[in-house]
Formats: sequence, C-alpha cells, structure tokens
Amino acid sequence: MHSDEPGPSGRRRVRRVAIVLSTGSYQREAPTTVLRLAEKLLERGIEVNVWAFEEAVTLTNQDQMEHNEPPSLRPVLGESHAPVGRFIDQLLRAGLHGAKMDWVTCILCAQERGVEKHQMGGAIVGTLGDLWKFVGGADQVIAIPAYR
Amino acid sequence: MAHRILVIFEKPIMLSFEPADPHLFATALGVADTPLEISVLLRDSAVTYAVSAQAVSARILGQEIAPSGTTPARLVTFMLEHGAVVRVVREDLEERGIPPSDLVAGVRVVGRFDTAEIFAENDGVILW
Amino acid sequence: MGRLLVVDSRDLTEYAGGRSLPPLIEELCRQGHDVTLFLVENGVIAARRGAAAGLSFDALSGTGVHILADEVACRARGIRELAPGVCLSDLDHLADKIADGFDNILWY
Repeated sequence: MHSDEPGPSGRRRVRRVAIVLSTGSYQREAPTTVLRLAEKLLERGIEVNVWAFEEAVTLTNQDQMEHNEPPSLRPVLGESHAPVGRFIDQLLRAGLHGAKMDWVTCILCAQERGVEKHQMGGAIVGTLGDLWKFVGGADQVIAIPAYR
Repeated sequence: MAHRILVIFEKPIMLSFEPADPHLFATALGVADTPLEISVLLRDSAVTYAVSAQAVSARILGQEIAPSGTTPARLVTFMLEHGAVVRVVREDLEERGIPPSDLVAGVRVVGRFDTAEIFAENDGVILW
Repeated sequence: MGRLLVVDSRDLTEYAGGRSLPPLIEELCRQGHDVTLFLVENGVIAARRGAAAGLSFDALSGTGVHILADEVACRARGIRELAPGVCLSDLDHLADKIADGFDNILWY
C-alpha cells in the first residue's frame, strides 16, 4: 500500500498516475499493456486515472460478448476468449479494496460511436475538460500514442 | 473471378484480447475452409510471425488473457498444413536479427525483389 | 538533472520517428539526465540480438542508459537472446520505477 516514505531515489513517492489512451482493443496491444501496468500501479497503492479517447471508449462497452470461435479454427484458437471489458470491470472493482482506478470515457467519442448508453458500471462518461484535470492532477502522465 | 489471393502482413499484433491477430486467423479460415488459393507474405515487422519459439501469455488479476496460448507461429503452421504457401522477406528478417533457422519449418524465404513476381501471379491482394 | 523514462512500444524501424529515438536518448544522457528506456510490445523487436535497430543499445547502455525489455513481449515474439546492453525486465519493475517517480515520461 501507499507510503509517504521516499522511494529508492529519495523522491516523494508517486500517488497518482494519469493514463491517456486513444486506441481500442482487439487489434492493438496497447490496451493490454495499460491494463497490465494499471494493475501493478494499483498494487503499489497508486491511484490510476484512465482517460479513454477515440476508439478507447469502446473498451468499456458493457455489451461485449464472449463468443465461440469458428469451428474449423477451434483446434488452434480454443473454444472462446474473454472480452477486454471483463478485465477493466475487475480492475475497477479491485479499487473497492485498495487503490482506486477511475476510468473516464470521452462523451464526444462515445456519442459518435453509439456507445454512450452502453458504458459498463464504474466507467464515467466525461468531457475533454476531464482529460486536462487528470493530467494537471497527476504526479506522472502516461500518454499512449494513437499511431496508425 | 479472383481465385489466387495474396495476403500481406506488415505489423504484428499480439496480446490484443483476441486469441491471435484477427487478420491472421481470418486468413487461416480462408485457407482451411474455402477453395481459394491463398498465399501469405510476411514482411516488415510481421516477419516475427514466422519465428517458431513464440509463447503467448499475460495475466491480469491472476487471469490469463490468452488462455488458448495461440501463437502466430501456430497459425502459420496451421496454414502450411492446409496447403498455403507462406513466405517471409529475407531483408526484413535480417534487419531484425532473425536467422532462417529460427523460422517455422516450411516457411519460404524470398528476396524483396521477388515480391513483384508474387504480386503479379495473383488475382487479388489483401494487405491487412 | 532529471530522471526520465522513455517507453518504446513500436518496432523502431516501422516509423520514421523511431529512428530518431536512440539519438534523442543519447542526447538526454549526454546532458546528464538519468534515462531509462523500457521496450514493450513491438518495441522489443529491436532487443533481439542481431537486430539492426538495437545496434546502438550497447553504446547507449555504456553511457548509463538503463535499457529494459518486457519479458512478456519478448516471449510472445520468440526472442531468446537479447542484444548487448539490454536487460530482461517486466511490468513489476516498470511500476516500481514509476512509483519512485520520473520527471517526465515519453511513451513512443
């Protein structure tokens, strides 16, 4: 858990990290890395604020479904796989018992993609202003590039 | 009618909450389930798909996100087993320090200039 | 001087900007900053021994840059041997370093 003791470098330990994420999943590894890192930061008592922009607003679509893989590929792919939203939901719930993760989706991007009303419980539909509040209030800012 | 289809991969996608790169398994489905003659060309960073010693695994909150452990190499093998020709570009391998001995057996190594001939002998190209 | 983190998530040969990353890090180090380069996702492609994009890593490491490669990403790409100057690492290590604080983080 969090301590006010200085870290190994003698600096004041980090309390809050803002992560700006603009990419959706299923064809990028970036959301996987963000979730893996968020878990590690939460374990260390660090509050994680994710601001989801552009395609990243689909990550918290509550209607993601676990589906069967095509029959001819099941020997290779397996029967099915869990959607990314399940892992975000679990990380949001993990905050009940430790450091908290806030996940804010951009309202403009969510409306454009028709997912504003489909956000999972725990995800907050916010504004562009929330991006800059997260950035301004963070000890560390991590911005994942949205390269094509 | 397009019958001979060249499918080109340039950028590897790993650990994306799919069992594997969806473009790769969509291609594998075409190879296994259709009468089309599909061949695969791996170039640029995607030459890593042909490296045999891959192991895909990552956990979040103790849960494996890739429970099937499906590697791109496994899908390359699957396509080879179903009759597809899979080629990798030699210069792109060399730039990334990948010796041909590290590749999945059956993958053909071609030169960058051979790709013009490969392009010309097909009826359609899908570049993912 | 500053404590800086550069995370490379792309194959350094894939975008023109990637080729400018090692010189940027070299210059930051020359100016006296404490620089960590963490390779993740396709960024580890340069960490394979023999990769052209990683040829500068040994010299960078010699100037004091800490170069780390994510184990999960390396295993996924079948990287069994790392380029000189690169150490195998993981996101636990990265999180420890972030928890200790950087003056700036560039995620490429």
